[in-house]
Amino acid sequence: MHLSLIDTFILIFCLMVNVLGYVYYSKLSTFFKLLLIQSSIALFFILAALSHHYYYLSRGQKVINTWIMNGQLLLEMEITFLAFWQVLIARKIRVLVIIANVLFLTVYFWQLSYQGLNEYVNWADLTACIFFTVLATIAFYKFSFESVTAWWKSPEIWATLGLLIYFAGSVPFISMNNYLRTNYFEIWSFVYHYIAVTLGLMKYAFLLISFIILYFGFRKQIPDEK
Amino acid sequence: MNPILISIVAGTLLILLLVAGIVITFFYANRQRIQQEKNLAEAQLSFEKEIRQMESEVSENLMAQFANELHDNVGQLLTAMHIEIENQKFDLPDNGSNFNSLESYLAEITHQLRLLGKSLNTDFIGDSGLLAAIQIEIERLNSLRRFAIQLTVQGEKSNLEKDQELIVFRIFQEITQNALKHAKAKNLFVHLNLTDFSLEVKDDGAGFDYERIVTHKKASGLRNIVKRAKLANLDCLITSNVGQGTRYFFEKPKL
Repeated sequence: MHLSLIDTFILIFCLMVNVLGYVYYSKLSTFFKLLLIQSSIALFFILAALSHHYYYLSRGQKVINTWIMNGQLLLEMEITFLAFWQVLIARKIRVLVIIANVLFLTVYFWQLSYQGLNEYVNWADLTACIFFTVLATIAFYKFSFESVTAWWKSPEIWATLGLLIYFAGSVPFISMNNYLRTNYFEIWSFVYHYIAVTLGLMKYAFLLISFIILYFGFRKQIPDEK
Repeated sequence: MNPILISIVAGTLLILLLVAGIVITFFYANRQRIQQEKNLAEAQLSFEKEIRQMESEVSENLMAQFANELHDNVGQLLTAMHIEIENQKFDLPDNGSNFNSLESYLAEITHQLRLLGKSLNTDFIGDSGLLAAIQIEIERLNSLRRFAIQLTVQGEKSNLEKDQELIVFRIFQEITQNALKHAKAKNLFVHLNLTDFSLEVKDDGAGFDYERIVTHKKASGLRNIVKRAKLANLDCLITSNVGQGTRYFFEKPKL
């Protein structure tokens, strides 16, 4: 595992999101607080996976850090479900969120039980991606309908657009992840490093834009102290 | 190229294209909705303006009718009374002094009626101008001896349209009526700037909680003032606090 240019940018964007987000954490809505926590967890796990990788590599041992990615998936997806629960208040949509979460957890633990920790739970990821695509579309529609500012000034629109692009675009790759990794490792490597990572970059770039808008918005509200 | 790779890349691109299509559709639909809401708001505003203009015309017509009645009927009766008093003085010269107080009351009533008629007569206001109309109204109100009105004027001729001048005069009448009925003021200060139009009326009366009163159902006088100011395309600022009097300020909007 090595850090490509795109990976580096993801790390930088994730770090900037965390820095900007925690400056005015108390002023954020619950939705953005949860997205911030989710990106903090992502940052933690990326660094943990990297450390784990380089630790074992330096000892000449085989690196198996898929269990870290499985743990990251569970935590991040649960927080994202919570974030959508916060913004989608219509009763029928909340039922959909609950069903999605239950299905995700069912598939997750089922796949974990027969595959083990060292194999990525791609079916659970795929389940989450499909449901999150639907939920992000609904949230995007809701925010674009409710927004009183221009769309490029709305942090909610940027955040949900990033989530929508990431989860929708991940569906083809995630569905073939384990099969490709086992049977066509080179193709898997290409797809992972150019499609999956690029989608991740877009997600964090859009999230960064939304937090920049929020940051400057909060700064304008605070009176200058001279 | 491996068909699996092609299918994954194609699938991803297709989904992203679909997402782009959904996003563009939402933005387009939202833009249409915002435009429709804007058109509705403009139509509503235009309708309300027309209603206000109609109400204003109806009330001006009624006041003009009333002014004519005052002049034609009541005015004539007072003239007849004056003539009758003169006849009595001629017939009974020894008792002439008994009619002096009656004559002075009659003269006062005739004078007040003439002033009231002028203030109600739209044509008179239109022909004489805003300054003359306000001066006559102040003269009439000062003669009631309920409070003292002081007028300061800047400039000679107003740059308002005739319609606007009429509305401003009616606003002035509404303000003075409020001061008479509610304010318990001893003094009213009126400052009129005709060159760069502005009108300021301050009283030293009881004042009121503006935010609370303006939402009250009975605050129709205040709401009329604000509506009329909008109709005349003037900015209106009303400030008042309990025990600190009231200030009304009208001016042309700054571009």
